[in-house]
Amino acid sequence: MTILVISALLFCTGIVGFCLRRNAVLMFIFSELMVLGAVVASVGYALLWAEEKGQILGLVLLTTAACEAAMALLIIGRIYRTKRTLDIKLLSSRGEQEE
Amino acid sequence: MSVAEFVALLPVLEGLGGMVWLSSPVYVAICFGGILLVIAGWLAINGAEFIGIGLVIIYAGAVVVTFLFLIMLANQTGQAEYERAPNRPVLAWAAGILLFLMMLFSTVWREGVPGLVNRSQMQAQTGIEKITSDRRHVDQQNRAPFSRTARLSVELFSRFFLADPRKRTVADDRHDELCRDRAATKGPPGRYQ
Repeated sequence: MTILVISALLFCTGIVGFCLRRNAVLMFIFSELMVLGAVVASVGYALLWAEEKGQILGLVLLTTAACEAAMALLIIGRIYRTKRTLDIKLLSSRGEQEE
Repeated sequence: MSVAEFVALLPVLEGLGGMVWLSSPVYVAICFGGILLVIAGWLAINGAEFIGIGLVIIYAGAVVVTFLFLIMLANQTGQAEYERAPNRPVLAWAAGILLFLMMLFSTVWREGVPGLVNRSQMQAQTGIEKITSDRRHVDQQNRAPFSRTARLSVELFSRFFLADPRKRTVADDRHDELCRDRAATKGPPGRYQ
């Protein structure tokens, strides 16, 4: 049961950090923390119920998160090169002005 | 929760607190890497060595390093105003605490709440012996130590990477047998014409 508490902690801290921060890189780190919570939950249930399928799902989730991280970091780097800031509020207000 | 489990949980709590309170992205990424290492060790101790090693290689070895690389390229020092000022703190903490309580209720506290079906009741109703909270009991009955990781590795690498498509498997034999049975029950062609 402890591992499920840890996964819940990881997921909820990810949500708190995602809502608290305005830096795009930090928001993405906290979204990765949420994915990590999901991975730990699937592995935790796999251990609890003695099933290997949860571990395979965790491995798939890990790979998906790694691919997603590569793409998102590429996009964030591109945004920083063009806009010279990573402030989400500023970026969204600039986007509204351009529209 | 035993004392050893609580002591193992402490670095995770410390890392999560650091991630929330520190403003510098470098420190946040390092705390994230530390949490990953602790959880990988935790999973390895509890019998999920394959995922633990994968967590270290994929997350701590690739994703966190890419984070640090991007932070270095974007020159993020944590000194800017938007890196220090919180965004909607009341909403963030309310959502996080509410969701955490709901998750605790649905996983841990649900076992003792009357009126809700817990795992033992579900096991008694369905008769499925796999639904058990004591994984070590299953391990002692059926499996040797580390057999879970070995079976998972062999399953993954043999079925998807090393399998010879020309070689007949048990599933192929079973399929042929089913086809033969189906043809036999239909009878000779033209019988009902």
